[in-house]
Formats: sequence, C-alpha cells, structure tokens
Amino acid sequence: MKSTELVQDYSRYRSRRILFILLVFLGIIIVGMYAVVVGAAGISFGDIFRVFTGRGDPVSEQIILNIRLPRVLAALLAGLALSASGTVMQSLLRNPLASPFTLGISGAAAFGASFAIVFFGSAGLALFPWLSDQYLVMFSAFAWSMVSTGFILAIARYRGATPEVMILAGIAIGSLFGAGVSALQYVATDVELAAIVFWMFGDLGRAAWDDVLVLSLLLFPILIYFSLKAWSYKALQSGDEFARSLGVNAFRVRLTGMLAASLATAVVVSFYGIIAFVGLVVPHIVRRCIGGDDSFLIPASALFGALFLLLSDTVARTLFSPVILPVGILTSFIGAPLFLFLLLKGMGRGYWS
Amino acid sequence: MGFVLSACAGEGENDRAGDVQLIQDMTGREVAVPEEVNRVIGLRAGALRMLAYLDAIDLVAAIEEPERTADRPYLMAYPELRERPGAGPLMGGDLELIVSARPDVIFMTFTSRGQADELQRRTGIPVIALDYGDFSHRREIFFDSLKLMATVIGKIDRADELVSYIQNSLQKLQERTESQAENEVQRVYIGGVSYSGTQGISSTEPYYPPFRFLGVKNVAEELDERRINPIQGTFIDKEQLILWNPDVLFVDLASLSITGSEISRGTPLYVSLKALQQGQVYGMLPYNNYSASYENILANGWYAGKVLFPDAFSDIDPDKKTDEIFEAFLGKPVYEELKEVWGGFRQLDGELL
Repeated sequence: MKSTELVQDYSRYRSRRILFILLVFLGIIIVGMYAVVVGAAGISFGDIFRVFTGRGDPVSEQIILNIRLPRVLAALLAGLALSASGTVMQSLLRNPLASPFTLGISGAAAFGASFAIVFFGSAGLALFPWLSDQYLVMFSAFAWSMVSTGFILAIARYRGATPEVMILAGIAIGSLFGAGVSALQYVATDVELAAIVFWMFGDLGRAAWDDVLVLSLLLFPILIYFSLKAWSYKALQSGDEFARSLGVNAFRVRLTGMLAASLATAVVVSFYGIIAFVGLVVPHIVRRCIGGDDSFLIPASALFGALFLLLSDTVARTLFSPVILPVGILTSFIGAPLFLFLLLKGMGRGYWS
Repeated sequence: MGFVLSACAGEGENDRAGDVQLIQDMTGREVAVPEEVNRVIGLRAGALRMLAYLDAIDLVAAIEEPERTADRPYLMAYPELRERPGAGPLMGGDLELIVSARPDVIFMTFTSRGQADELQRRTGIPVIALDYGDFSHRREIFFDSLKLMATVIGKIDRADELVSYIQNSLQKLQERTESQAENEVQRVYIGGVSYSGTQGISSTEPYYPPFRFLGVKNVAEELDERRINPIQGTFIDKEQLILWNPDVLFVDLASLSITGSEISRGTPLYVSLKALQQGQVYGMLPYNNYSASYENILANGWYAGKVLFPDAFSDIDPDKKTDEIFEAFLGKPVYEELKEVWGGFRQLDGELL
C-alpha cells in the first residue's frame, strides 16, 4: 500500500518535471521566432518570409541570416552552457553560491582579453602574423581562463578536491586576475580602455556563424557527459563518504566535472564576454520549480537557461530600441527580482535540497 | 552552414554594386568600393571627426549613439549630426543598426585587418580600415588616412587643402621659434591631460605635440623613455613636479575641476612651485576625447607660442588664430561654443584661490 503511494508520488513528480521541460521547450520556440522578427531594423513578416524563400532584398537577408539568426542561436547556446555549468558546479561543490565563474573564469578571461587588447592591439599584431587577429582577444581570454582553471585544479589535486579548497582558491585567483585587469586598465589608452570595458559587458552582438558552430560542437559532448554523470553528482550531494560507499570516486568526478563545466563556460565567455548571473540564478530557479534531482535538473536548467538568456537578449535589443543594451547588464536586472521573488515565496521550505 | 550563408551574401553584394574601384586600406586590405558613394558610416574613435574634416557631413548615414551628447568641436560645428539615426554603442556600433542605415561604405578606425574583414563579411558592406595616427611621430599616417577616406568619397581636393594648411601652420610655428636661443627657452610642464576622462595635475604627456611644434620640451621628456609612454601619456609623482619646478605650468582646461584644488593657493604644490607663485599658469584646450581633436592640438601650439615667446608672436591674437584653425579644419569658427564648455585659453592665476 505504502509503496504504491510512493510510486504514484514519484510518477507524479516525474510527469511534472517532464511537463516543465516541455513548457520551456515551447517557450524557446515562441521566443526564438519572436526574436528573429523584432529588432532595430524593422523588418516585416513578409520580408522574413521572402528571405527564407530566397526572394528577400539583400539588406533584410543580411540582417536576418547573418546577424539575427546567429545571435538568437548564440543566446540559446550560451544560456545552455552557462546554466548547465552552473548547475553542475553547484552540485559538485555542494554550495548554492557556486556559479560557472566560481573557479575565477570571469576574472581570468577579462584579464586575457585586456591583455590582448593592450599588448596585441595594433603593434603587437606584427608578432603574430600567423594568427588571424580578430581571434586574438578571444584566444587570449580562453587561454587565460584555462590557465586559471588548471591552476585551481592543480591546487585541488595537491590539497584535496574538497569544495572548500576549490571555492577559496577560486576567490584568490579571481582577485589576482582582478588586480591584473586594473593594472592593464591603468596603462591602457582611452581607446583600449573603451575596448576593455566593452569586452567585459558581455554582448551577444558579437555572435557569428563560426562561433555558433564551434560552440555547438563543443557543448553537446559536454552536455551528454553531464547527463551520463548525473547519477554520480546526485551521490556526491550526500557527501563524499557516502558517494564513495556507492562506488563513486568523488575526487575524479569532481575534478573532471569542474573541468568540463569550466571549459564550456570559458568558450562562452571568450566569445561573448562576461554574462553574469545566468549561471548562478537559473539553477536555483529551476531547482525551486522541479526539485534537486540532477538527472532532471541538468537538462531542465540547460533549457531554461537558454530560454532565459534569449529572453534577456531580446529585451536588451528591443527595450530602448534603437539603443541597444549589452545583455550582460540585462541578465541581472531581470534575474535578480525573479530570484528574490522565488526566494520569498518559497520561505519555510528547506532551501537547499 | 556559415560558409554557405556568407557566400550568398557575397553574391548579393555583387548584384548591387555598379562600377567599383579597388582601394587598398590602411591595413593593406584590398577593398572593392562603389565609384559613387552617397552614404557612409564612420565607426570608432575619430572616424566621424575625419568625415567632418573632409566636409562630408551630408554623407553620414548614422552615428554612434554617444556622439549625440558629446562636447567635441566637430559636433559643435555640425549639430545636425546629433540627429542622425543611431548606429549603436561607441567603439563599433551594432551590426543590425549599421546594416539598416544602408551605407555604401563603412570607415573604421582603431581596427585590425581581421576585425575589418569580419565586419565586412557580416554586414556585406565594404569596410575601409583607417589609421588615426597622431600629431607627433605618426602625423603622415593620419594624412594618408585622410587622403584615403577622401579618395573613397570623392573629396581629394578638400583633403589636400587641409593637409597643406596643417603643414604650413606647423612650418610657421617652427620658423617663429627656431631663432630662439636654447638657454632662453623656459622650462615648461603640462598637467591634467585627459586620458579616458579627466585627470589630475600628475597626468602629463611627455611629448606634448604643441610644445614640440615650438621646439620646447616638457620637463617630463627627461623621464626614461623605456619606463613611460611618451606619446600616449603617463602619470608622474607630484614630488617629481616639485623637483622639476618648471618656469611655466600649463593645465588642460578639461581637468580644472580636479587640478584646480591641487594647485590652488596654499596647497603644497602652490607653495613649492615658482610658476604658480609667479602666476605663470595657463589653460590649454583639452583634445583627447574619443581620439585627438587635431584642431585643438594645433591651436594649443599657437597659444603656447604666444605665452612662451611673446615677442615672436606679438602679432597673434589667440582668439582669432583659434577660430582660423577651426575654420580650416571644420569649416566653421566654433571657438565661442568651445569656450562655453571649458572657457578659453587664459592665464589661470586669478582662478586659483
């Protein structure tokens, strides 16, 4: 009798979770279509129809196919990457404050980008004629993010891969790179300074087909890896000792999980700059809605993050049109109140479960 | 997918183009631009200013958003520019807005080959990369850029006229001052030079072009070149300024709100510097504002000449000279409007209370 209730309960939760995922998916399709239609250029449905049937005028064609479409896809992929990484980091570190930037990636990437902007701006390019220069800033941001991640993982290897070690090392490294960015800003010319500040805003306007392609090629294996490991992450939630008793190697699972999440984050950050808050708040919102079971939480967060970032970017593009806001600014403006609302509404329930 | 799309865009571009000319831009790229150019956009620092120098305001299809409210001589000369459609944020604009302004050509300063290629590929509009140069070692590069822009928009006579005016003016400055004996030349310092916003008295530009036009040296020139940035500016220790104890102190007028309190009566600097006690302190026009306003640099040269070599410049009225320079660069005497923002050239003695 009792066990039947339990099974019924579980299947009810299960269908609720599947419903949530379906709704988010539907949301992505609707918002995605809307995002292709709206924009500063004021292109009508008719124009869009003509573009997709190959009869559009060159300007609309350029805007729809080479500007808006890659931007919409980039928003989805970046949201997916940041939220999935955030969810995994929170689970692995058993810490609600963990985010994709916990290992100091945002600071390291900002340093890498500033470094390239200041030192390889124009004169420095002569040193690297073999490297196509528009990728130099991206490459430097990515390389330094990986340096920071590698450094922290090395510390963790030496000192033990506990959540405390990783979080504290991440804070220290983040502040080290923060100082590096300040130093570079101090020596930068006003033009370089503007470039640095703009880089840090986080803007999906930089999206192009090439980086969308790279992003999807890298992201999907990582997402599949996360899904395969969801069971181990669930075990880790109950403590390293408990996980070990279930045959989960806490050390290795945590290290590889952090590496994969950092890799996904670093690629997004080096392409589009620092898009704050998505990776921190989306996992919490989704956890409030469907609970903390990693095998649902990871895909649901990934999808919801995609929807959330696409929505934010669409608002950022259209709110003060034709003035455009970098999405990195909007994500916090939209995310923080939503998160606070959920936090207040959910009072009384145990939060972190 | 990306390749296919950009190939389509390439075909579209060819369909539209009538007669084209091949132009080699300042980064060495070969760009096909239409023979007849009626609409242009100048992106990044200084590009719009160069269009104003070439009397090509009518061609400007869109402006970067912050130009609407900035205080720069070219915007004072052509306030109608502020009403043009927006091309997005500073340092490069927004792709969608750029494309929908339908320019025939985009001019972009402070860019690399790759960034220019990228913008051209994604907008389907020819992008000419320019080099803004500077007014000391890289003056010829600025002239080359100006002539390149002029070639594209059919204003080559205007470019030649401006370049020869600048060369003549510099020649005259040199002639008036070269007869001055070395030992009679006063020791001078320029403080409060704006970089990325207003700065205090310790911000200087060791190779301050207005001094160099006159054969005068900033006392900061004696700093080790390897440790400072002589052209783009540097910050010195206030104690060093006291050690130098220059005969004449020049102050960037934009910085007066900060420097004023640093050098007013009774401050340690006032007590230690003979220039301040003897009232030998003069205001110079600020020129670093979204890259240099070359007209202000030249006007500063004439004013510094008037201050440092009163006999050789006895026939010069700085107000008239400044307006003559503005007319030569921008076609309009806007010194009065400039004065409303910063006040004009003046001895600051009485203001340091």
